[in-house]
Amino acid sequence: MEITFDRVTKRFGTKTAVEDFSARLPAGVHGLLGPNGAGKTTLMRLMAGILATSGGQILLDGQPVGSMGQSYRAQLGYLPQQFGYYPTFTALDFLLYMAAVKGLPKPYARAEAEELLEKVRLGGETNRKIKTFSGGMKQRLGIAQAMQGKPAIMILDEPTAGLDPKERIFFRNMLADYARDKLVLLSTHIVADIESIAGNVIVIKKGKLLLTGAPDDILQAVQGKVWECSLPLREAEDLSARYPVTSFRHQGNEAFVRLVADYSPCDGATQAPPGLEDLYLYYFADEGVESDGITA
Amino acid sequence: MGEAQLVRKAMLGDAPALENLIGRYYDTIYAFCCRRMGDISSGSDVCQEAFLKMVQNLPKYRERGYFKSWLFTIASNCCNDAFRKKRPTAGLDESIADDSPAFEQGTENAMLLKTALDKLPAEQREVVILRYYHDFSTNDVARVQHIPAATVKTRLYRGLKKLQKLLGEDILLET
Amino acid sequence: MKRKKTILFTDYAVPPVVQEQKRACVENALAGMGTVGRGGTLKEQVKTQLGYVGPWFWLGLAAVLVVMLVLLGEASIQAGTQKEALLATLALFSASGPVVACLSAPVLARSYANDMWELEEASFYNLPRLTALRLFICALAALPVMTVLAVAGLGITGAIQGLTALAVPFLLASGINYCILGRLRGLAGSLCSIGIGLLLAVLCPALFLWAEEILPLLWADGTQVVSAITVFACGLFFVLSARRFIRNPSITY
Repeated sequence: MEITFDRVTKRFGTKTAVEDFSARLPAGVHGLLGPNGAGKTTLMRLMAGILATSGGQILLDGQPVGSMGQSYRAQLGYLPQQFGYYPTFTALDFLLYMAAVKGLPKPYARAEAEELLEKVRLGGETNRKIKTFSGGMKQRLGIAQAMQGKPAIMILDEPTAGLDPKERIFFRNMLADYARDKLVLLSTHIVADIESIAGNVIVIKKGKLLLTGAPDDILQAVQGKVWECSLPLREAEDLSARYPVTSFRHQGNEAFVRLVADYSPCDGATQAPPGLEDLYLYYFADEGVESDGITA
Repeated sequence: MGEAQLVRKAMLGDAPALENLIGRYYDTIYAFCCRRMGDISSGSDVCQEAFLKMVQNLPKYRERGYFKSWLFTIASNCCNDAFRKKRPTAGLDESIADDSPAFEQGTENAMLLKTALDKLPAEQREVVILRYYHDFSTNDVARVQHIPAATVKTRLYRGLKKLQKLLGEDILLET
Repeated sequence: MKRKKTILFTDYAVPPVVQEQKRACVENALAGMGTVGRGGTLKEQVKTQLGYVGPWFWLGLAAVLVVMLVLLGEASIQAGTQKEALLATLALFSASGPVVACLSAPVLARSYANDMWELEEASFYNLPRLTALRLFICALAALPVMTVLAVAGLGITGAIQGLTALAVPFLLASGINYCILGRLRGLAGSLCSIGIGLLLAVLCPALFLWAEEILPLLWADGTQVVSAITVFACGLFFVLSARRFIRNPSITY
């Protein structure tokens, strides 16, 4: 199974949200990395069939998804970045409603809804109204609905938003187990999520494809650009003002700084093996984005 | 594990549960398909098809305690479809055993009974097979064939009568 | 007397199971597990949705039927003629069907307000399709009652007029619904289709009675012919718009 983006473009009036985007997504977990406004959500909506492309096409095993209609949507599980719920619904009502909209047989839907609620640790909240749920609980419910019907293709837009670290780890493990022979496209700001489960990373900037490849491969782009040094506090602060900093740790009167720069930022700076967070900062530092709480 | 729980787990995609479920019913469905089709090769193919259809239709199965009947209904439908595919112009009554590998040459009794059974109309043959080879009650057979119990009794009566006639006056068919 | 030979059913034994074949069967079945299949034919899709239509849907439909029967009685008294009352009631009832379906379709107009539209649009049935299916179920459920009404009123309205009063508003309203929902999405589509449905429900009885008065003046012997042609044309419009809507491969928004 393979999804192909073939020079996909999407314009909203005069604004181009996605431009000439081409990529191949075979079965596996693909992480979509980029700051706010990069076009991640638009790309996901295009893939989910909610939006039509302005140019190019999206293909599933060579067939344009636009012409497949229901047979394509039958294979989809989608979790949008923001989703609501009908206020009177309980968790079970919501899943059964989504099962109806997904065309799943009722006997199966009921059994699966109960199983999924257990899986996302909402088994005790089956008959509780969603409006009483915390943000994390709502997100887990959203993840549960995305898995209904065992979709072959899952599109998850910021699935770990609102989850605490323990929930995020739980979600990653669950997704890794689920996605063994499926195609998952996962967008996130949280680099650690991608690092732990994505076999392929797609970096998108201003609607265009920047980099794509296995995490270890794309890190070559920032090889030799990650530096670590220990400096007096004042100097460390000066350095932070001039370069994107991944880590700033006080050590008495000194500070340990990890930053990204094309050349050595100061005497005594040593090169360090790059990580995805460094890559993110290197390409997106000027966008003023958040990366797991660190602002560039 | 109870059958209801096993079916539920299999419905939700649990592979070991599905294997377990197939393991429980394979032999009986295999025997049914072989007798219904009249030969091993076709029976085996139809049996495989029946279990595949079972997997595909499990999401629609409503737990009411009649899983066995439901599975036999699927097997019966698969047999009917197989008959239609092999001989599109022939009715379901005709056995396809004439030009396909027959059962092993067993006892003379077995061959006599098989030949007679193959000549029965399809619905009568099925009722007889379900009743005498799989110990289905009248109500169970009714569930499989989606007909009233009274119709099952009629088909059974007529089927046995015809079988006896086909076997001849010198042979007594004991149920 | 010649002794009869006895044959037992158990004499006819099937050879034992070949384990390789059994294993192959299990693997084949396991390979068949995967994404849960959805019904492909209309019959299967209707059957699936019927599983979700709860008791309130049927109660609502029954309530509408009862209201219609009461209206029929009331209209008979008000209009003075049974024929006009029956025709008007049949037309009103028939045109209301699509509105009832739209209202009974899950949260059609609330989708945007509750931020559910994105989830629903990406699903197997986006809301317009779900509405179309529920509409079809409504029609199937109401058909026996509508037929009884029409047949009971045969002596009063005549077969063709009765059928026309019953069929034309429903087919027209439903066909227009399909056209709207196939082009307008979200809140706009919902409001538009419900609005047009209500408008037709109000207009159809009046239009019908007007046609009953005017047509004989224009073409004395042609009323029945015009009625038959109208029913046929509306039926064709309904079928074509429904087919186009249901088979619409486009998932544009």
